[in-house]
Amino acid sequence: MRKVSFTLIFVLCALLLLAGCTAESTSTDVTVQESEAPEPTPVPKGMQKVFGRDVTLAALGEFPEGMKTAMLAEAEACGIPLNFADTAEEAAAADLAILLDPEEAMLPQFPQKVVISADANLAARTDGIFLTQEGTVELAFDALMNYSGHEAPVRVIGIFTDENSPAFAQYNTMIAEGKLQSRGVIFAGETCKEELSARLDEIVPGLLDSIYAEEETLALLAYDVLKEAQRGDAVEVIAPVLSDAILAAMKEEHFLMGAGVGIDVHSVGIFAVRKAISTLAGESVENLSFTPGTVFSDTVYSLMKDAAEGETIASLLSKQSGELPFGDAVLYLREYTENQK
Amino acid sequence: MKKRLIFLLTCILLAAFLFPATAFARDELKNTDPDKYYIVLDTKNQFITVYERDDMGEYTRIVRRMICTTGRKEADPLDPESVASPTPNGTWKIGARERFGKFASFQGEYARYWTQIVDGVYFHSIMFGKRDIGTLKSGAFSHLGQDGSHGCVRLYIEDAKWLYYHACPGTNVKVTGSEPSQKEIAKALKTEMSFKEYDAFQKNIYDTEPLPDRTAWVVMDRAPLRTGNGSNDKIIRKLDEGTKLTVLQEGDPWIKATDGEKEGYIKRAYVTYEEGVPQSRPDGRILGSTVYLYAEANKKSTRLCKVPHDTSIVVLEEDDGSGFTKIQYFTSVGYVETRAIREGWATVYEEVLP
Repeated sequence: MRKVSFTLIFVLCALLLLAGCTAESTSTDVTVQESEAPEPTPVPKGMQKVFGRDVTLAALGEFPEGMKTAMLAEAEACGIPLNFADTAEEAAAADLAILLDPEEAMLPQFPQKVVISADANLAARTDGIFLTQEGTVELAFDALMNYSGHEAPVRVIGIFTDENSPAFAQYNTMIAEGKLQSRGVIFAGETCKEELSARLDEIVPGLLDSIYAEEETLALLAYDVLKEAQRGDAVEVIAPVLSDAILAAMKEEHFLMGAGVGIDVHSVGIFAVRKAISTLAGESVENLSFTPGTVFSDTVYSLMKDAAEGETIASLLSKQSGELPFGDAVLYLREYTENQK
Repeated sequence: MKKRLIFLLTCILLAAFLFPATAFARDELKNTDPDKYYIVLDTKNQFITVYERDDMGEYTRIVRRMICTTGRKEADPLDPESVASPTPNGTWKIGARERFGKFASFQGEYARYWTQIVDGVYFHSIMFGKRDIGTLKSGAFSHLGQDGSHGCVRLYIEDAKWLYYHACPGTNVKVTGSEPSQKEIAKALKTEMSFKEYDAFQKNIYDTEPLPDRTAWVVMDRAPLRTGNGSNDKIIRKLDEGTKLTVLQEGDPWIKATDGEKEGYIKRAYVTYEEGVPQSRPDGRILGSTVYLYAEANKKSTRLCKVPHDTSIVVLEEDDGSGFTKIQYFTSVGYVETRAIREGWATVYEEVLP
């Protein structure tokens, strides 16, 4: 019975297929009249497709080196020329200007702009990128507490700009809380280096954990002193700064420049260019505020160990901090530029 | 189908029985890598040096030095009751920890931040009269830099605290009396603070709130609770099967615990941390004596560390006729002499290779 059913279904299917084939073969033939092919309309590509024309970007302000490098790299990846202008007039000649900490009065001359500012009000009014250093000092002291091998009370030498600095106040608060044990305090001045060397000479290796330096020059000075001293113990500099020079020191001697705190300027640079392109393309892109973060030297060390040639520490750290938002225009331009290579 | 299900359930239960979770501390450790630090306890100069690895992987970087008081090397000739109680030489692996412990065999004697070297020998702070930071004793404070303890290693509170949080179980500590003399360093390690100043300082040392102690249940009848972690130590009381204990130190072969009235030491194999779930067996394998762990199956090879008697062992390879058995001890893998292994109450551990 089952065999019979299968045979029946098979025969029916075969008939249906045959019927289909027959229908096709009996369809009406269409004659196409040949005519001269029209000139194809050129399909716009690259900038022409996104903006309808070629555009240029300009940047005006005292950009940190790491931010500048990132901006140039991102603009190049999108195939858009970026000029770091010397004057407002020169910047205003571009289709859009990226302005770092601009004077309020100069804003009207830039109809298309991306503002990067530490002034929250200005950033909000201009839909700009807000950079805040708030919490930097606290984060640097957190890094001092949490650095590998540190235990409260962390034994530390503090180097400060002066007695009224917020970092010195925080230092004293933490001593009172039993979190730090001061092994000496030095204030910025001409004899700072000699004072630090002399203090280090007095401390037997194994009795000091760290040197807290309040600003970049002091941190680099402490780093140099440690390097010259060749103590061989686990003492490192921790600073509320994250500059190219600090990162370079971390790369050079990761045991000596222990941690830095600051804004990831590389990411700021990338995001500023992306926001500029989106603005020109009439897209809206999610805005970001950049807050300080801590970078430990062992992260820099491990990143640089496996880095490809030509990679900078800032770009590696930026990659590690996660993908920054971008709109369709940036996505298209990056792909198009990549394919053109 | 039913048979398969029963087999599967049996396997799960067996796995649960065979591989209990190993835990040695309630307070969160700041380092969980036993190979991060290498500790040298110099009984000649009476100080400790903690090393960490350089970029070449060698332990050359000094992280911390600490003045100490180790076990009394010789009996006091003026005191007929005095006996020598030196801190035992050798390379040991760090074991149990306790935040603020009582000396079970002494009245009114407490110390902060205990970290076990071996058996009843610990790193701990100088002593307190009560479990209260306001009762620091001055005698031990002044004595730092000279030997004189019952075997334990006394330290400033901040140094004992460092070891408590950073010298995690399995960290190597080498106890040696053959280092060159370094009197200048030893002198520099003593604080310049007076006792009064130091007492004020230590009361202010920051720490987080302690985590709650763990609970354990006795799994054999009349299990002895002792004054110390050794089978010859005095029995405080015998505990019935099922007795609920608060664990003060998690270790192996001994834990420190209290039944609410008395504090003392009981063998780890006599308790379980999970009520009703056995984590040990009476016919397990333990070491009958303290032995060396060798890198290879011969006595001429490198001695990795010492393994204390009564330690429950994880056998990786049975004796192939060489007289040695391959075992795992914390994260170290090596060989012990087979003749030192005997049957007894043993904790059953998961094989965790480094």
